[in-house]
Amino acid sequence: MVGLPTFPTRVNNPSKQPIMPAMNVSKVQNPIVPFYCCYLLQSTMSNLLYVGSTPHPRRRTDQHNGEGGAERTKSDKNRPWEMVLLVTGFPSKHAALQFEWAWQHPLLTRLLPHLPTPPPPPGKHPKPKPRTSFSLPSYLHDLRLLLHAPAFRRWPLVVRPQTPLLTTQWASIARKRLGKHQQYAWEVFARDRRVPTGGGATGAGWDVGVEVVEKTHLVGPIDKWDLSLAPLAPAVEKTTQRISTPGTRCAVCAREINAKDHDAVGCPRGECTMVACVGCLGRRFLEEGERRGEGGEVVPRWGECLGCGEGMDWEEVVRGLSVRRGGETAVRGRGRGKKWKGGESALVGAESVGLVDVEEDSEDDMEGIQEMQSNLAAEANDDGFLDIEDLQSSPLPRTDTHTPPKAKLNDAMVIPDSQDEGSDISWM
Amino acid sequence: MSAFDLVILSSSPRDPTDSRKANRPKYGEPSSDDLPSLFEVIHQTKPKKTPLRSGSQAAQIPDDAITGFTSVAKLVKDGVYTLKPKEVDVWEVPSDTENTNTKRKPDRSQKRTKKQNLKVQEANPNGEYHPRPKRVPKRKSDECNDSVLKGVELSLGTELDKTATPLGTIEDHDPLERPDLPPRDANDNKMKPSSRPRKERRRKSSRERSEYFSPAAIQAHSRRTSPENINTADLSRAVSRKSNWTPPKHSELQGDVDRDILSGSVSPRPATDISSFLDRFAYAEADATVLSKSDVGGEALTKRRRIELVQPLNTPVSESPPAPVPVPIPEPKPPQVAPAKKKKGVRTITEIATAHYRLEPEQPPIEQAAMQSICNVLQAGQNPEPKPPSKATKRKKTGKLPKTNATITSKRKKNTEPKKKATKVAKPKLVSPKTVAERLHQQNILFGTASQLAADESPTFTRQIIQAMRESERDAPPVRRTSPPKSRFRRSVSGPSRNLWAAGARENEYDADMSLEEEPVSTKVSGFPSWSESLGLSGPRRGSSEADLKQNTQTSLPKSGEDEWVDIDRLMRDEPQTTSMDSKTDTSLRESLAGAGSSNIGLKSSAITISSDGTTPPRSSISSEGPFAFPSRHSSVRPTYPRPDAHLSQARLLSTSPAKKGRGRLNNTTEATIVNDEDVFLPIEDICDSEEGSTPSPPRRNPPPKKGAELQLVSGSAAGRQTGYLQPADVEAVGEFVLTTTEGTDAAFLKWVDHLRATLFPEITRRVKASTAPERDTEDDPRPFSWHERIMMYEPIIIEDLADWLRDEGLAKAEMPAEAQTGPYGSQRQAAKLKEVKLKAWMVQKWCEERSVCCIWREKQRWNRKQL
Repeated sequence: MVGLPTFPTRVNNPSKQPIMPAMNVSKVQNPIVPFYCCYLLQSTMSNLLYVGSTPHPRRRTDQHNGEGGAERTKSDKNRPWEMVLLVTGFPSKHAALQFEWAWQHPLLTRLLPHLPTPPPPPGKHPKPKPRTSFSLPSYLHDLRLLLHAPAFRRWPLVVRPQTPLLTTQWASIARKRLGKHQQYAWEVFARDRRVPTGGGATGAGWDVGVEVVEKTHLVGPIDKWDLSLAPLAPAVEKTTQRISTPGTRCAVCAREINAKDHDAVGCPRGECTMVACVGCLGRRFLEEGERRGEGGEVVPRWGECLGCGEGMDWEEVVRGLSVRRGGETAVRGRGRGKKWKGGESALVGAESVGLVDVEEDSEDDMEGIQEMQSNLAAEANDDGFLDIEDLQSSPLPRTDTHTPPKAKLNDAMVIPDSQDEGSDISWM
Repeated sequence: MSAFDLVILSSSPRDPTDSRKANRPKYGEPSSDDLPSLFEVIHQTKPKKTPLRSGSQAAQIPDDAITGFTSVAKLVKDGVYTLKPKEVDVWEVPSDTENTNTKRKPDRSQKRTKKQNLKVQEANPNGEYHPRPKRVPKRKSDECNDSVLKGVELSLGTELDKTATPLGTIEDHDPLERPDLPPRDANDNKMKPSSRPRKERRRKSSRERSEYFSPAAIQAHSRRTSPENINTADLSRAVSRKSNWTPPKHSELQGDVDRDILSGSVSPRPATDISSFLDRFAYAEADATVLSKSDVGGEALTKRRRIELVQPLNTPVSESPPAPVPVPIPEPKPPQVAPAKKKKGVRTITEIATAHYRLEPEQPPIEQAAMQSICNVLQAGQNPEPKPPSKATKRKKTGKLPKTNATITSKRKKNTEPKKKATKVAKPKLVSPKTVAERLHQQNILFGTASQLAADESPTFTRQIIQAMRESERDAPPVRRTSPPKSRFRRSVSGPSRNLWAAGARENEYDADMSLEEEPVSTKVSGFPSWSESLGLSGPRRGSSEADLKQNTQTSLPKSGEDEWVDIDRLMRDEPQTTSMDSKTDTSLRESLAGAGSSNIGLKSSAITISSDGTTPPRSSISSEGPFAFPSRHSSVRPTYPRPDAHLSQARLLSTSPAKKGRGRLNNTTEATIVNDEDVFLPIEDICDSEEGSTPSPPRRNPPPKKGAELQLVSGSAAGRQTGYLQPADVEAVGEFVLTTTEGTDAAFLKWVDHLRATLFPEITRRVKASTAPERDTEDDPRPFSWHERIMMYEPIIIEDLADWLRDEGLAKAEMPAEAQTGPYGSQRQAAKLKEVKLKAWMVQKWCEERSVCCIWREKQRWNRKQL
C-alpha cells in the first residue's frame, strides 16, 4: 500500500502487505485497546447474574462454563452461563475495570453520589451493602445510571444486548427520562452510531429512538465478533497514506503535518482525506460541543468532519492514531505462553489492521518481542504508568496448557482478560 | 404297763372348751403303796429345785386337785408347809427305794428354784410331798411316763414319798437334790468335795422305771387322790405353774377353769391313756388359728403374754373388728385396762390460725349423737355441742382470737370430730352466684408485708398505716434549687408529711449543713412574705437539736384525704388544742422559731403534723398565712418563680425517689415552686431543676453540626475526616486528602466540592486545554502528547502527575472558604473567609471524574490509602 509505513516483522508475511514503520515504542504511551468490554452474565439454570469484564467475551464465556479461570462461577449447578449484555467501547483496561466495579457496587461507588449510601450493618467489620437488588432490572437500571454518570458519560460506550428480552428491557429503560439526575444529552442505546438531533440543553441533542444499526463487527453473536482492529484498517491506511504525503497540512491549524510526529488524524469515512492534528481536531470538536451545550468538557465525543462534513466519533478517530502510534507492538499480540510483565501496553493485533500477517513467531522475533516488552515495562515504570498486571489482584494462572493462538495476520491478537474479576478495584 | 392314771401337771394352755375339763388329766393312783402320795410330796418342804417347765414332763393335775391361788399362810395353817427348814441332806439318797440300782441325779433341767418350791408348797398346803418317781423306761410309753414323772418330780420340787407316792418312791435320791451342790454337813455347812464317787447321771429317758410309777405307789396315790382326799393345796403347784404360762386366748376362761378346779367344783379327771391324754391337749380349731397366727409371727405363745391391742377410738365403728362380746364382769372393779392413749392430734400453726375459719362439715344428727356418746365416754363431763360455722372465716388473718376454754374445746373437738368422720365428708354447700358475689365484696383482705401483718395490731390500724405509707410515697413535686449548694437556706419544706423520702433526705442534708452559715438568696416569691421578716429573725438557726429534726421527720404520717397545707403559725397558736403533738416537738419548734431563721424550720413546720398515735392533726386548722404557709394542692393561686440556677447539684438529692415515680402526678398536685430564702420557704417537692444553666458538661469532641452554616473545607487527612472538625491550619498540615466512598455522602463535603467545581475546576480545565506538548527527545521519536491530547486519547491519567503539572503551571493554590471555627462550649465563631489552599490531588481527581477522565493513583498511594 502506498504511503503506508512498513514495519519490520519477525513473522512471515504471506500477504506481503506493508507493515507500519516501527516507531520508538518506548515513547508510545498506553494505546487504546482494541477491545474491552463489561458483560452481564446470566445463568441459564437460575436467575443469577454476574458482572465482569474481559477483552475476549467468547473465551471468557467458556471460562465461566467450566474451562477454568472463573472462580465466581465455578459451581456446576448454575452452568451454563451466557452473556446477555455487553458494554463495549472501553478505551483501556483501567476504564473497564473501573466501570465494572461501579456496576457491581452502585451503592458504594463514589461515582454515583446521588444514590444514598446504605448504613453499614452492625458487626465487627460492617460492610455496606453493595447494591439494593441483584435482579436483572436493577442491573440494567444501575447500568443506565453509570452510563450517565459524569465519570463515564463521555466514554465511547455502547450497550449491546444479546437477547431479545434484554433488548426490549434495555430499550424500555433507556427511553425513560432520567429526571433530575439527567445531566447530559447523551443517550446510549444499542447502536453503533449516534446521530445528534440538534443542540440544546439537557435532554436534547441526540435521538433517542432506535436507529438502524449499521453492520459492524460487533453485531451478531459474540462468537462471530471480530475483536481485532481489522475494521479500522481502511481508515488507518487511508490516514497513513495521507499523512505520509508530504505537504499535508492540518485542516484546522494548517500546520504542515510531519509523519514522524504521529499526531495527525484523518477522517475515517469513505474517501475523505481530511487530515488534522489530533489536538486541533479535538479542540474543534469540543468547540462544537460547547455550541451544543457541552461546555467545560475536555474529551470530545463527536464531531463533524471538516472535509466531508459527516459526523464521526472521536473514538474512531483516535483509535486509528493509537494504532499508528503503537507500531509493531500495537499490532502484534502478546508473547505466546509468557506472562505479561509490567510496562507492557495493550497491543493491537496487526491482523486487524491488515498490515501484519503473523503466522508464527520465530525465535528471533520472540527475542525482539521480549526485548520490546521489557523496554516497555521499564519505561512504563519510569513514567509512572501503572501496569495492567499490577491492577490484577489475582492474575490468571498461565500454564503451559493455555497457549494463546498463534499470531497470525488474520487472527486477532487479544489482550489478556482481566484477571481481577469481581475484585474491589480501588483505583480511585 | 399297768393302767394308771397319770397326773400330769401340764403347763400348756388348756382347752377352754368343756372338753378340756373332760380331758383333764387326773391324778393317777400311786404305783405302790410305799410311795408317798403326790400330795404328800407336794406338801413336803423340799429344797430348791427348779420346777419342770416343759409341758410334756409335767404331771397331770389330779381331778381333785385344787386349782387356784392360795397363800402361803393358808398352806402353813393347813399344815402343808412348815416354815422350818428341813434338814435334809441333798446328797442323801433314800435307801428304801426299790428298783433303783443306780443313783440318779436330778436333771438340771428338772431342778427347781425357790419360787417354784414355794409355789409347790402353796399348791400343796397340806404339806404332802410327792417326790418325783424315778423313771424306768421300759417302753416308749414308760419312757414317756418316766419323763413326765420326772418332770413332775422336779416341778413339784418336793421329795416324793417313796412309800406313799402313787407314782412310785424315789429310792436312789431325792429328785430335789442338786448333785452339783456341794455336800453339806449336819450343820448345813458346805463340805469340801472329797473324793466322793461321781454319781452317775442318767438321762431323762431312762429305761429304769421309777418307783413312783410302781403299782404300789400308784395305788397309794389313787387312794390319796380320791376325790375325798384331794385337797386344794395338792394342786396348787400345778395351778400356779400353769398360771405362769402364757395364758391362752381365753385366759379368763382358763383362769376360771383353774379356779374351779382348785375350788373343787371341777375335778380333774386323769386320762386313761397317754395318747388320749396327750391328744386332749390339742388346741381347738378356733385357738389353732390364733396360734397359727402367732406362730407365723414367730412368737412363742407359751412364754409371752399376748398383748391385745386396744382399738383406737378414732377408727370408725364399721371398720373396727368385731368387738368381743361384752362379758359381764361381776367383779366390782373392772379390769383396769389402760385406755389407749389417744394420739394427740398434731396441730400445725396453720391449723391453729385457720381454726376459726374452718367450715365444719355438717354432721347428721344420728352420727352426731353417736359421736357425742363416745365423747362422753372418753371425756368425762364434757358434752360439747358442735358450733355452727362462725363468722371467723371472714376474720382477718392478722387478728388473734381470744383464747377461751370453749374455743379450745371446740378446737379440739373440731379437730377430733373430723377425724372420726374422715370417711364421711360433708358435701360442699352450694350457694347462689349472688351470694358468692356478695361474699366476695364483703371480703376485706388486708395485704401487707410480713412485718406489718405480724404486728399485734388491729387490722384496721394496719391498714391505716399502709395507706399512710402509700400516701407518703406519692409523687412529690421535684425539688428546685434557687442557688448553688452553698445557699442552703433557699430550700424549704412543703409537705414532708407526704414525703418521707424527702424528709429523710432533708434530714441528712440539714444535718450536714447545720454548722454552716450562708446568706439567703435574694429571690423573692410573690405571695409569700419572708418568714424571717415576719419573725424578725436573722442569721442561721442555732440551738436546734438534730434529734428533734430526725424525730420530726420520721414519724410524720399524713392523713388520707387531707391535702391542705398547714400554717405553722396557727399550729403555734393552737398548741393547746393539738394535744396530740409531742411536747418535745413543741419546745423544739419554739426554740427554732426563737432562734435564727433558717429553712430548716420549714422542715419542722411540716413535722408538726406528728402525733404520738400516728394520726395527724387536721390541716384545716392551720391557716395558709404566715411564713410557713405552703400552697395547698387545690389552691388556685400558683405563683410563678424564677428559675433557679441550674448549678444545684444537691437539690437533686431531694428529688430522687419521690420525683422519679410518676412525675405526671406532680402536675396535678402541687406546682414546683422556688424558694426565696429571705421570704418564704419553698416546698421542697416543688423545687425543680432548671433547664437552663446546666452544669458544665465536658467539652465536646465534635461540635454539633450547624444548620445553614457555610461549607467547611475539610482537610485531606484521614484524621481530620474522622473528627469531622478541622481547623484551617489543619488543611495545610494534613497530607493529601484521600477521597473515600463515604465522602461523597457527606453533605458538607459535597457542598465543598460544589465550591471547587465552581472555582477550581474551570481553571484546571483551562490549564489543561492550554497545555502544550513537551519537547521530543530525538527527532525520530514521536511527538509526545500534551496533557490534553493524552486525555483525548483516553489515556489513564496519573493524578499525582497532573496535580504536579498543574502546580507547575501556577495552579498551586485554590481559594476556599475558611472554616467557621466553633470553639468549645459553643463560643465565638469565625467569619467565613477565603483561604488559599494548596492544590490537592484529590481535587484533581474530582476534576477528572467530573470530566470523564480516566484517572488512577500511583501504586504506593493506592496501597497506603487502603491501609488507613
